[in-house]
Amino acid sequence: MSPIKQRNFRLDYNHIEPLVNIRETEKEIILEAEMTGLAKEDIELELTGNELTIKGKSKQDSESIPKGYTIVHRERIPVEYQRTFLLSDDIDTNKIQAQYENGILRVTLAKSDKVFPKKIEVKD
Amino acid sequence: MALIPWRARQTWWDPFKELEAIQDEMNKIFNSSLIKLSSRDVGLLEGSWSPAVDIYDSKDSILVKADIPGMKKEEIDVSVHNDCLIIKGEKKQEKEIKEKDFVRTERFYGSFNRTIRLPAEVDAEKVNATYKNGVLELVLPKKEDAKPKQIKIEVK
Repeated sequence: MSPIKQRNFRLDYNHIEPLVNIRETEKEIILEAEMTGLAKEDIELELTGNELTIKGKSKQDSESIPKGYTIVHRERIPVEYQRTFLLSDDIDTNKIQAQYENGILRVTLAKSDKVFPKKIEVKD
Repeated sequence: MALIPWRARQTWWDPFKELEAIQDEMNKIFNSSLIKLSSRDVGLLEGSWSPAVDIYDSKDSILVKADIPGMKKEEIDVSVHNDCLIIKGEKKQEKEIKEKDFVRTERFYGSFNRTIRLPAEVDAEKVNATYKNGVLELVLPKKEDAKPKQIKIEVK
C-alpha cells in the first residue's frame, strides 16, 4: 500500500480570482482589484494580445508563524490571485498604468484616441 | 447600478460553520420584529462582511492580523474592552466617483465590525497598530499579571 501523501495546509496556496470593481469614464477604464497583503513586487501584470492578466502571490504570509508566537486562531490563508480580462479594441495598450495601495491594485486603461469622434470639415 | 454587498468566501467548506451561521441568522430574525429588519440585520439575505483575522500568542504580547483591503488608516477603529478586541470601520465609496460609471462592482462597501476574545488581558494604552498593504497588524502587550509566571518548586 502506498502511503497517503499528506498535504501541507500552509504551503497549499489557494487560488483566488480577486474581486474587482470596474468603472468607465469618458477617457479611461479603471479596474480596481482587491489583492490584500501583497508587496508591490509580488504583483505581475501580463498583456497577451487583448488579454490582460493580473497575478499576485502573498509571500510574507506563507512563512509559517511570526517569530516567538504560537497560533491561537487562523483564518488568513496564503493566497495566489489570478484573473484575466479581455480588453476591447478601443483601449490603448501602450498606456496601461498600475498602482498598488492599501491592498488594492488599480489598473488604469486609457481609451485610444481613435475612439473619440473627430470633426471633419466639409469643404465647399 | 446597485452595489452588491459581498460575503467573505470560505476557502474550505465547514458544514458546522454554515449551520452556526444559519442559527445566528434565525436567532436574529426571531429576536427582532420583522418590520424593523434592516439590511444590516439580515446578513443571510443581504450578505455581510467581516475581516479575516489571525491571532498569535507569545509570552509578552498578542499579535492580531486582519485583512481589511482598501481602507484609509483613519477609517479603521480599534478598541479594547477588558479581554475583547473590537475592530470596526466603514468602507466608503470615494465621493468623487459617480455611481453610474460602474460597470462592475464586486467589492464590499459598508460598515463592518469584528469582536475578538483575546487569550489574555492586554494593556490597552500600549497597543501598537500598523496598516500596510491592506493588512491591519496589532501588537497588544499583555498586562503584567496576565503574563505567565514561573513558580519554582523546591524539592525537599
